[in-house]
Amino acid sequence: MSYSSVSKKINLHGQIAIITGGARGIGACIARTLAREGADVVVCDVLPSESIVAEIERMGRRAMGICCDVTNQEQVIDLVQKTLNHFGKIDILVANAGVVDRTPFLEMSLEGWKRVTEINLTGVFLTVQSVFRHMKERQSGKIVCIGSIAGKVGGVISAPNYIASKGGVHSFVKSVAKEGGPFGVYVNAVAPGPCDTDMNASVDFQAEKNFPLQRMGRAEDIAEAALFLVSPASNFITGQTLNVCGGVFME
Amino acid sequence: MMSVDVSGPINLQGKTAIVTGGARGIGASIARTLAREGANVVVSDILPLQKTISEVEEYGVKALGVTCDVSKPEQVNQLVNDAIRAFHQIDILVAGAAIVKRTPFLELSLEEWNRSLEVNTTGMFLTVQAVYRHMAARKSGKIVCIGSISGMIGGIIAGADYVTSKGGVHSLIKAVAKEAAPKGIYVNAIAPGPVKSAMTEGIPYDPEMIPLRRIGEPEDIAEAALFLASQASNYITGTVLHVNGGVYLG
Repeated sequence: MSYSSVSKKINLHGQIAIITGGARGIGACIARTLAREGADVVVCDVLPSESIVAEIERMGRRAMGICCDVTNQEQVIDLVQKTLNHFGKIDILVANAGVVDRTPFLEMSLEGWKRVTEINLTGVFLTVQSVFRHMKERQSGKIVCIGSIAGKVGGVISAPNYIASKGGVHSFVKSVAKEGGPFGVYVNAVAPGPCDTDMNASVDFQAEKNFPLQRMGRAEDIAEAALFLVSPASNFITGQTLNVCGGVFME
Repeated sequence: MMSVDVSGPINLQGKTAIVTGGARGIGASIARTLAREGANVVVSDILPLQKTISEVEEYGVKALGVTCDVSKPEQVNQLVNDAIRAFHQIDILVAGAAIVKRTPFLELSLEEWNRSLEVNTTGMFLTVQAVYRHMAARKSGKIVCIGSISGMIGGIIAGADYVTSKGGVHSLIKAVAKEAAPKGIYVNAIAPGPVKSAMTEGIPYDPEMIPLRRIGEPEDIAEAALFLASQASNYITGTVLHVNGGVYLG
């Protein structure tokens, strides 16, 4: 028995999506892009999300902001519960919440290591587990986790805690994809290369000189890839990490 | 100094695409899907093309059929020339032409080995090079080559010749992607897992072996090809996209 239907044109009308880390940058752009294709969106962040929520509502979609620290299991369970109370179901999760760190290896404290892996990796575990429980029951759902090309190539300027956490995300999706496949629950990752966002504002990657496509990534580049993976256009794709990195890394 | 556009929603209005191996199966589905999004399509194959041409035209776009053996340089050049004469430009190439055999290794003749590499890998080289030349002059283009999961994991039922030829495709796109990127040309591959088509007819794939519990359909590959041929993937190049139901996880 398969719950997976054949791929078709992108269309998210009637679907409910949760985006963690959705207040700004890549997360906000993903929220906007999913709404453009018809989805109603729950924006979750520790930062204020009023602005993106208002923007989505102006697009004619329903939106809700929920303040949630993804490392706090009670808050994550509450996020899922509030979404179900309000919208009745969850079709899509984009687990995007994350932080970056640039501490040199020998200066890294155990606390510094734990803080980043807790948010970037354990936070993904908690969010995906809570949503997966609901999706498995409905035998339908699309989960996309945001990894990083840094997790594959060792990073340019990011610290080992960040690298390890993002590599962990790429492995994590494979494991959950195998478990979700028979129930029609898809689990994939997007691995962005260096993007023009607040997180990278202080770094000059000299993209024109160093990157094959000669520019930094933009939030829109990641958002269109995430859209593809949460949509019915990718109904035979699971357990994969899609590199969106301007050709910086070719596996 | 040029730099490529940021990604945006899929829209192929006004674009021209060449699809090789477009007479049936995955190639025909790709031709229909690109047409659905507005592209004019040049359909190429050694098999009869009329069915795909009619299906493409039903979307209100233009279609041109060109019979072409991709292992013959003069026929490939003719294909590109015919496409440019009819549509003045080529924005998209989906190189899907391939043959498959399942000869056991010790029975595999040199002739069979050579023929598989000639069509599946050299044919890809010839098609990509001819189209790339045109795209490089225009500084814009999207190339998608159809590889195979068998090139990654050794194949379930395909012969060593097929497996090797498809692994070559995955490597070829990386080499070309690096050279092409500064010219605004994208080169990616799709590695399909088991897909229902004339090429896989009669093969007893077991859906229980596949995490998504079904065999792929041509549409599954076509939507992925559309993504990579569109501006939705404007920061993706040199990548092999695995569309396999979770059989192989990279």
